[in-house]
Amino acid sequence: MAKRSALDKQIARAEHELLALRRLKNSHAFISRVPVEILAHIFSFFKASSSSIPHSPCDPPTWLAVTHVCQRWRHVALSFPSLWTDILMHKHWLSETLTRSKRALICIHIDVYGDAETLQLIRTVLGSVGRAKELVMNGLNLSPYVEDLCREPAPFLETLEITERSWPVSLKEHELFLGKTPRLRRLSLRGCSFSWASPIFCSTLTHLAICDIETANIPTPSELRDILAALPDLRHLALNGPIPRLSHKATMKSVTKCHSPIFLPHLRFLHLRGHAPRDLLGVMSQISIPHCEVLRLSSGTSGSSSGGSSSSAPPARWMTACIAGHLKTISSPNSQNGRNTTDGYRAIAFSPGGHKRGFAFVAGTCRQLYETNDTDHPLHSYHMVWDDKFYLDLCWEGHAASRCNMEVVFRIACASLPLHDVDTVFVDSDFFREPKMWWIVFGRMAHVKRLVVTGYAVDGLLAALRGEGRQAESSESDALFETLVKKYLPEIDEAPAMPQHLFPELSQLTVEGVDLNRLFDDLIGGLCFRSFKKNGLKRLSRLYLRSCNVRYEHLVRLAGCLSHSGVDWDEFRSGLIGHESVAIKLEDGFRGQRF
Amino acid sequence: MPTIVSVDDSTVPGEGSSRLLLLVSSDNKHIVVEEDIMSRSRFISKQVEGFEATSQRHAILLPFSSFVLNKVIEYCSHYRGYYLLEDDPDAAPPGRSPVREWDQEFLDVDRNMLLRIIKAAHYLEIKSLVGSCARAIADMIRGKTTEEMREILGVENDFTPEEEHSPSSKCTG
Repeated sequence: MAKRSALDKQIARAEHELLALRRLKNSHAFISRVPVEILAHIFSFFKASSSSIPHSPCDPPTWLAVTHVCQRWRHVALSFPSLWTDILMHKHWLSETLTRSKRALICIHIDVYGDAETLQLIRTVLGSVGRAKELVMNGLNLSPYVEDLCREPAPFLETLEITERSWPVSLKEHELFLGKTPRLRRLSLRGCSFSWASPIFCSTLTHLAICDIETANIPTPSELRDILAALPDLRHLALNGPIPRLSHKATMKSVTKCHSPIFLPHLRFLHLRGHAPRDLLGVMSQISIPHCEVLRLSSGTSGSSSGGSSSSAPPARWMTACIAGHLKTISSPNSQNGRNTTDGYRAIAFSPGGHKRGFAFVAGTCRQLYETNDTDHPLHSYHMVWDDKFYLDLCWEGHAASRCNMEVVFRIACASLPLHDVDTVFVDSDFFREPKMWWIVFGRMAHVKRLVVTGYAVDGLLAALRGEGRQAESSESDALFETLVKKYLPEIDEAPAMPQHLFPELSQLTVEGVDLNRLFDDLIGGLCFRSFKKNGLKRLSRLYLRSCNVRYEHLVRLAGCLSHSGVDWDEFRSGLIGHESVAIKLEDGFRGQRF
Repeated sequence: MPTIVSVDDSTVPGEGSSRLLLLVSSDNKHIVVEEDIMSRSRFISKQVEGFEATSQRHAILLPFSSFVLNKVIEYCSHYRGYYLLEDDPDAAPPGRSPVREWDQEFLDVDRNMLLRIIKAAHYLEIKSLVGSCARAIADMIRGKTTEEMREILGVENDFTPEEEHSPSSKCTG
């Protein structure tokens, strides 16, 4: 017995020694020489990049694995409150995270499901709203909790999001946080009814998003004007619905006359969705947004009372004029990272906008470009990382979406923005089915190296390369463009000389999502015999075909042509039939090859 | 605190428009660098302010090797004149944004070198570089088990059996 006891003691001593040796070894590890604040910094990145959703609510967050590595790591993780500021809404974790975050500012995200346990947790966590930096409430029937939000001030609250997914929650009779949110910067209200004079719209706001409000809660023009005038620091404004309705009898003069515009010098993102273009014009004409980078305007109807077939009914023309006026002020790239630059944009993209009629236009500096497998959206199958982005997205139903108005906005955007150095262009818009548009928009962009064209725009490109559209007859859009340029953009050359060549420096052309059978002779034949050379593509060396349909006989003809090119035939065929891209080196296979 | 030694103007020709600084590494290598390049370092900026107060120019002795110092200078040179959000005192806490592409290549070094750079960046108070290194280390251990993390960073399990199962560890996963 005594011997066993002695052995136990010996084992304990050995274990103790082993532990001491391990700790000594750890103290010599390089990571142990890193200061604790850096270690906490590493943990915060690890936490941010780890999945925040555990497999089950009882499981700990995945980042807590670091607390099991060694004593020092655990000590650091437990002693830095900033690592515990995301409050976990679970009975096992709520009190732990509230305690471990000590007095640090916390982020509360609440999904309201309605079960009794959750309700109690919500009440508990809302008791700590006094040190909340971020509060996001999302769910069904939030009304019972509104009173909990009115008990104490929220002196540190920077972000408040309330999303009601059932009946609108009324905030009208309540003064949220006793009207004291001195640091509130981001406010998002969805499915809420509220007073437009509420102190929650405080002057510190930089982000405001309101959507899904009841018709009765739509502000009057003066209410909206008062709100915007009280928010001089706004950077991001999204109003999806709360746009004052204007009478059908309103004229452009009556809409735009009364006040000098409200200057919003910091606004970078503006999204307005209203009932009619006329209503949007009512808002747009009241604001000045010289540094806007993203402009998204959409409406449900044309707002034209005549119902006539004219492609540019008055309200639509007003809207186009209004955009022209704004584009004049948005004529230089605005860097999001605060670096001032006079450089132009390097890439532009034209694509369908919204879900109905309309278009989107993006200009920026494309830093990265690589292909993904998103074959449903060919243009988006290129992953692009944009710097200095300017994004214009317009979407209207009815007359306002007419070809004439869209075309004019395209032209004004291209004439106003510094696009002289553009080297990459993406076109996925039916507006470019017309060859004239290619000459007008791209005629002066002489440095384009990469071009991606999708769908019917390919027809327009091929026609333009045959020389069509270069000297087109004057159209309604030309007249409107000239009128607007005279009025708003006198510095723009209305009728510049049409260039001789289109894309003279283009080296890489990608054609996507077209029926190659229909265009086979035009495209491949044109490239083969270099008949395009007369009008452009003088330096083309690579052709990529993606997601194109092609018949067997065309494949045979291509095979004959490619037999000299060294292109792997099987790979080429599978690429055409499937969705993979196929590259053709023109300098190898197409020079003068007849088929 | 860094050791500061006086230098004469012939060593540091900094009277022109682009003033030069003399940095001395722990292996006693003298590296002359434009002040503008190192302005991203709050530590260096504070030192330079001190020089201006005393109207005397000095070499700045730094407690890390020339190899590490050169890496830091390379980083600062690359981002010379750039605004980096992380260096802004009012910047938001670290988010999910990935390591910048150039930083990724720049930090493609062995583990110990990475830790040396982060220590140097911390010493020099270059928040953006500390952030990029911390991200890179966090990426190294992401998705790994506790055992794998220990192996990667060369640490041992030094918990006592009691600590492994103590109530305080219950909620740490």
